[in-house]
Amino acid sequence: MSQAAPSLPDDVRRRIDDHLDAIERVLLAGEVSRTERRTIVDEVETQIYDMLAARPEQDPATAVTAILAALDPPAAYAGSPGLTGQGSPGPCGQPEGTTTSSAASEQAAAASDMSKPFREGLLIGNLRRQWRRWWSPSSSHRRVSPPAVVGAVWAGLALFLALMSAAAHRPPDPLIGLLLLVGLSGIVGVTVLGFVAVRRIRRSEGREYGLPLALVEAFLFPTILANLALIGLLSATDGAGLVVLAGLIIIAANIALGRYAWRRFGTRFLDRVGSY
Amino acid sequence: MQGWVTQLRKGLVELSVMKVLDRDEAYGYQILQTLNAATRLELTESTLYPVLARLARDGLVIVRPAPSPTGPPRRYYRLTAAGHARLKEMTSHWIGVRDAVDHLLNGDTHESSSPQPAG
Repeated sequence: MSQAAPSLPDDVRRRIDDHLDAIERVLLAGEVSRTERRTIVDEVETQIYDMLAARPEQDPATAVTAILAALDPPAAYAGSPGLTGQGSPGPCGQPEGTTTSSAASEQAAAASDMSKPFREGLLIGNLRRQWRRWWSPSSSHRRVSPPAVVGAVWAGLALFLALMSAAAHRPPDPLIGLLLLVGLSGIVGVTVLGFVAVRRIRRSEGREYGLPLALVEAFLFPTILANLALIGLLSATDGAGLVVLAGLIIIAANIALGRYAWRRFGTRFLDRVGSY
Repeated sequence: MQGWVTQLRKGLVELSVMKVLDRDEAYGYQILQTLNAATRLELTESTLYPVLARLARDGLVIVRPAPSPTGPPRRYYRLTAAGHARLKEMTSHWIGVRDAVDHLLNGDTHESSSPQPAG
């Protein structure tokens, strides 16, 4: 990193580099941009050498030990205020619960590794940021509508669980019950996500696509429920001749629903955007 | 109490840093030493350097690398025209907030909010 660093013993130089690398890892985990990472790390490095120069009477190893102990631990750079990609900061840019280490050994430990809860916090924070970034409307590139993708996964899971539970022929144990809950909630969830996806696609001016998928999601479970209701209604009536009539009614109802969905959402969208 | 104090300090870091750079350019550690000598903000490098990086990113300061007698090149920061304008704006806001809180703490709210007698 340095261009004119005075010669230091290798082990001393390595300890400084370890500290700087640990800071960079924390900043990298916080998705701070490369330029900002370089600025911060270079500033810390310059400060270390300035502090070293102010201790000419000490041997370099002792001086570096004291200097690293006096500096903020790398974990203090998590949540640096206002930087690209960083989350909410703790007091003075230092995360809650972290303090400046006073012992050299603690400093070395902080430089080489972060505590487990802190790492987990970073991981969760990163996942949340990744999720928000993926879910929020894109302004730069075209992609499949995120609600449509989530809806498709949820619909697949719900249908799979419905088939599994139908094939099981036994009372649901707690795990099956939980999975069934996920599946049943999909009836509402997938439908809502389908309509959300349709709305986002129509408003995205071409940046999001997947309208057919979104329409299928929006009308999948209502159609299935409507079909089940029709089947139940018609099977309640006697007479084998009604089976053909029942089939025709169901087919006609599905065609009508499909035509309505496409006319209501699809063609208007195509008129406006020109592609899907 | 300590949390409130640190939050308060944190909010003033940017203003303080820009005020230091208002007069002349300075490098990172120099800014840190200046602020800690002149104020009770008790800044540390993990607070200051991210702020400098952000100011540079936002175009409020420009950076001039220069050789250092002690080691790696120093990065001298100087306010840009936009930085000076921002500092002026922030100072004005700060004075307004400070005066308002001073009035509140000194019990001047009654006088300032009471209607003036007519005639």
